[in-house]
Amino acid sequence: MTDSDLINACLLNDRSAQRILYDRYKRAMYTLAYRLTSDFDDANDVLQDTFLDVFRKLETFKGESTIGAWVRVILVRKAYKRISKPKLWELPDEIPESGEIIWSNNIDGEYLEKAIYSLPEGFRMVFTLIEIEGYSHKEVANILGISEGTSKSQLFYSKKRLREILS
Amino acid sequence: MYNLPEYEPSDEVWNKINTELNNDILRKGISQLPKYEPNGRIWENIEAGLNPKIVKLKPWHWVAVAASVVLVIGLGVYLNYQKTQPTIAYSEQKMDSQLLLQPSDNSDADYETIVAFCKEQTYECENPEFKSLKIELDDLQAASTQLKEAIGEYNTEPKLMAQLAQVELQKSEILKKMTTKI
Repeated sequence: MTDSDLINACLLNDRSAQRILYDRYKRAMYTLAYRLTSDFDDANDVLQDTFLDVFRKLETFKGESTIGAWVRVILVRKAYKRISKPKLWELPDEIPESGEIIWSNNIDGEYLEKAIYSLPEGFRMVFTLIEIEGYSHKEVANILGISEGTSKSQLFYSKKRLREILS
Repeated sequence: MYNLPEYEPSDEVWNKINTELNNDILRKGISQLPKYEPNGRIWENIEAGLNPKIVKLKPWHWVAVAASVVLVIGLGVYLNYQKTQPTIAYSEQKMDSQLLLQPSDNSDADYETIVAFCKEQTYECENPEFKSLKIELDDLQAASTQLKEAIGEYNTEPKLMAQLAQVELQKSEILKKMTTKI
């Protein structure tokens, strides 16, 4: 069943279709929720609230993006609200010219995971959205209500911190 | 062919390659990040949130609901009845019994007797005093007849009844006087 078929069935309040849609995206969304909140209980609540909103407001989905992208934006906003607006570090928007982060030859996934959770909330959120989820600085700025410069600055310094942790 | 010139790329090209290769290391690490699976309870909660809530009522709740329905319907019927039903008002007035006509009142019959008598015994009726009483009796009789017509069958006008009683009383007194003259 395609996403389009699923959406039409969900609009008719077909519970089995809603379950299929949930199953299709639950893992990715739950993982993202956990990355953003760094708490499994919060991730559960965020996931639940997200899908309730998805099914209740599905008629507002205009098809301008994929349904997965639409669900993800709802989830990010809910997670952002959940952690009560993480304090972004007050950093200069300008990034130093020698701003490239040199990574060691190999980064272990599990070790990287721990390093990400040790980041301050603001750093973690921007790093997760841009490097892991693939959002652009413009999109992150729009979702979090910050400038693109702030988004770039937060990402640079979060990577710098990660490099320090991983070395 | 061998004499064709060669061109040197700018350092910027290698810098970008180097940056991308460097970023690949991070991307590889990110691709190894663990994924997490939510537990089944989450779907149950979502499903419960999507179902309309059914409120279970206890027995006494049903009684309260039924009583409320009866009260509302009763009030509606009452108000509707009040709106459509014409208002009936009544009042009682006590009359002076002395002024009311008595069942035994036979002044009309007495008047007819005097009229019949005067047709035969013209001598007595030609007496001036008798004639004066007769004229007065005729006027009272005419007033009595008019009042009785105005009052009608149901005697609903107390003032007219009082006037009629007064007229009948005067008629009786005149009839008494006339009887003594015969």
